[in-house]
Amino acid sequence: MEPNTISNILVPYTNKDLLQKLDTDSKNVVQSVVKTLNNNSVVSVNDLNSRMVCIFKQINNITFAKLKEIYLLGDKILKINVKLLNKSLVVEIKKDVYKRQVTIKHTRPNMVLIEKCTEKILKSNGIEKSDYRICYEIVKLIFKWTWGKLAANIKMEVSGGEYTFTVSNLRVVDYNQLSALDKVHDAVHSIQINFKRSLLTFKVTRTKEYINQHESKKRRTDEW
Amino acid sequence: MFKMSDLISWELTESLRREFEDLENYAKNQIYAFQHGENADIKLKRIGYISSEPGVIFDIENVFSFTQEEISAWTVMFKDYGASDVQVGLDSTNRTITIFVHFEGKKEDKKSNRNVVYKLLVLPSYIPTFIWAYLGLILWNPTRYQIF
Repeated sequence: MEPNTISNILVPYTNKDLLQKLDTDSKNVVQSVVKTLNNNSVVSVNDLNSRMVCIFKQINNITFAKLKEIYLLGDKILKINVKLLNKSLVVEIKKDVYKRQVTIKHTRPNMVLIEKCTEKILKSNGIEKSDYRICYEIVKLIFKWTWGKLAANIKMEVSGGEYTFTVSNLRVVDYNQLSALDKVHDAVHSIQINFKRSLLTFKVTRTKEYINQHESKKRRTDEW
Repeated sequence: MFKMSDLISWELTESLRREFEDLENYAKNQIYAFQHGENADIKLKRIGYISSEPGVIFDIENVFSFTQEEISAWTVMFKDYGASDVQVGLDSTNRTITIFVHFEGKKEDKKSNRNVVYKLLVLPSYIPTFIWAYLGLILWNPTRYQIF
């Protein structure tokens, strides 16, 4: 296959003509995103004046690592939005004539109330004292994402040395938000989005387990 | 095993939950008025609660066309039911209208009290004017105008 063409299977009939009209750079970016996703997703492209909006559908699940790969494709990638309730991945590609968008923030999160409610949720879930701080930061972060919007549901299950967090009823989450979640702590890992069930799942290593793992790693490196 | 928690900053009581169900039924009963032309297949779905204030979010799906009047009608409809504020958002890609209904339950008691006071105040206006004039004359000269 030629490098500048997009597989016919992946592109709906209505978009074929449109993709042929696109400039090579934009076409390459779309092609790379499709390759990164590496599944039978369907892409539809909206070619706007300042940007190109690509909507990928029929994706079963996607990991944060894959989203990072897409983000690192270059500075042409403007936004990556995961629309969980609509079961689609929206990638915006910047054009040369791009002008910075004006964003209007309607509601500022009430941090005092968020902190109070987070404490209440963690108390009702009976989180252990040693894991309280990390769980507090995670729940607070998700609460902040959804403030003034659709309330998400959160489930924390503990099995062995780690917690499995399941967030449902989340309408949209963008790459920057997921990146912030990933940066909360090294213990946060396996961030995954299940489009079929509209769920965001991730795992958090329990504090005691995390310390033990690090100590054993340290010992191993000292022996070497 | 841990339970599922709603990320809401207000308390969801059983009575409030029932009020939200009633609100949903009310909205579903009103949707037929908007089902016409291209929008014959519109569907109303409650997708969840508002995290910061008591209220629910509805999605109206399969919306192919809409007018300013229709959007205003939804706002008025929910406000008439007792909503303190209504915000409407449009998602043109998915042909969906999202309605944020800020609702703390119906305030029926307050409304009914006001109705009773209104009815009492309005009652004298139904008495014909000549009766008031006759009563005035009786008070002025009872021996002359008293019938019995």
